[in-house]
Amino acid sequence: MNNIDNILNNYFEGKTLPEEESRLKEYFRSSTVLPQHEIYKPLFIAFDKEKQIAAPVFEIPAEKNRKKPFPIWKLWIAAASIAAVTLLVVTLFPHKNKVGIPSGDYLVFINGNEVTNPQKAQQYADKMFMQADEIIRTSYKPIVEANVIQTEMDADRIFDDLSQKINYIESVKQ
Amino acid sequence: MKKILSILFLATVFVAGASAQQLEKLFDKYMEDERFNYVYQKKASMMDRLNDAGNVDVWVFDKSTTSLGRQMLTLNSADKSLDESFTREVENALKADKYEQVSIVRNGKNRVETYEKNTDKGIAKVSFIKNPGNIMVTLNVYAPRK
Repeated sequence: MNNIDNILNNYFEGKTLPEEESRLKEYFRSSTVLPQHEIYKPLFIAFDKEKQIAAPVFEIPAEKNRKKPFPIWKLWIAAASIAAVTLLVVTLFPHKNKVGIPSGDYLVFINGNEVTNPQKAQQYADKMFMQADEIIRTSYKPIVEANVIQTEMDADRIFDDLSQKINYIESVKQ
Repeated sequence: MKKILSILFLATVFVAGASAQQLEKLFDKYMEDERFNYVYQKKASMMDRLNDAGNVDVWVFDKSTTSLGRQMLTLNSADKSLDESFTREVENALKADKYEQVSIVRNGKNRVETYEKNTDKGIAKVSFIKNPGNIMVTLNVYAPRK
């Protein structure tokens, strides 16, 4: 089980191999999860349900006509321009990782271990905030229901509705 | 006399400044503690908050304001004395930061308390959830309403 701890530590640091991640998912799906690992179970079950997003495949069209070789001095100018633009982009815009999550947007510590993988940190953060909101929502439900009842049983509104009905009946009679 | 008054003024400013951040200090204190879980989100998007909040009334989750960030600290422990001491620390921090209690919901042994205060940054809202063996504190900061 020491091995599971090591894989878990690597997992939260984003260093695990796909086989190790599969092993973790298998372990958390099994009935042999140790009590000290129970806390991570919902996390892995949730991740397990997620669909893998595959990057679209781009097909490069085959070159029809062979062009003349590009002059070397033009190549140098092109390379210098690309380098300048890259430098400008890197300087002007904040760093974003491959999934588009700015690296400082989420900070997650699970039992003292920092989740350094931004994508996993985001997933965990979203899940935790959702759970907290769910607890609050459940606890406030009776008050929300009481408010609805109070609105429905409002005496002024009931009398208004009744007087409108009486007026309508009287107008029909005449 | 002027010197004494200056020192007193500076001391007052320092004490006020120090006490204004007790809850955030508590987050910093326990974020890397192995008994706790800590989550921080720089700026919750409107979509995140709508997804999280669902259909709950506006007075619980005010959707009209812009989030300036949120953080959460949870303690899952069977140690009753740790639960009690952490609860005391949170209550003292809320008192020191002059949070105003907005609501208390008690359902059996579960208890949800909400607090609010206006800060320089905007409106700070705290939810303090206490269940046996599980304590959760969330701090949401929203931009002031225009």
